[in-house]
Amino acid sequence: MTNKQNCYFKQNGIKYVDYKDTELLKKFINPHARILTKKKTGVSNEYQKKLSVAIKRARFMALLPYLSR
Amino acid sequence: MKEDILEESQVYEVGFHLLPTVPEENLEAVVTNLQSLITKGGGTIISEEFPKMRPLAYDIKKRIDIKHITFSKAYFGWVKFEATSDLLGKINNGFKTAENVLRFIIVKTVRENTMQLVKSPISKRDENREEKSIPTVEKPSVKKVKISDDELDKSIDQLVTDQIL
Repeated sequence: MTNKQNCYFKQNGIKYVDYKDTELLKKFINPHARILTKKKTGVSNEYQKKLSVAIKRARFMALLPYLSR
Repeated sequence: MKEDILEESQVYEVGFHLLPTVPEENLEAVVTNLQSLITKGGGTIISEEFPKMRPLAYDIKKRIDIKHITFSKAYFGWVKFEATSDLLGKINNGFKTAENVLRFIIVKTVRENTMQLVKSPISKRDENREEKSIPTVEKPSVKKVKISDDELDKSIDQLVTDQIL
């Protein structure tokens, strides 16, 4: 068991995940514009929830697509 | 106790798309009009970004008079403000009834700047490429020395014997 922390947000000291920051959010969606799983992103439980909310807000505001391709 | 909680002011943010049909000269007037919704009710504006034209990820329809018109681009801007929860309802209604607003969202946020200025890994890779490409441009000129066929044969033979050994 390794206790190595892979959470992108904890490593970079990001406390609030902003829905407007599409360049950041794009890292966590696949080419079909689906949200990547926690397993793939390595983001902690706490931030994965915040991340998914931020992506959904960005989708509502048409900053990110609901689907692509 | 409940009243105390209601009266506490919190930091919110409203992001909005303005119709692309609004001429750029009128943008400022439209924005100040929307901001007055916040300031009139006693809210204070913390920070803002002036609306910028940007393409939408998908087409959005809005009913104007009787017609439904689809838009593929809009001016996106946001305002961060501090307000009580009572005022928030009024702001929500104000944005709903505003003519020039295509779509908007109100979210709870924090006072600090939330946009990350971390460089994307792609740009870093590009920088590395540039550094590498510079020395390759200045290639040292290779000196051409004429070698006779006999000498060539000899050198090949040597290589072959070396390999065998």
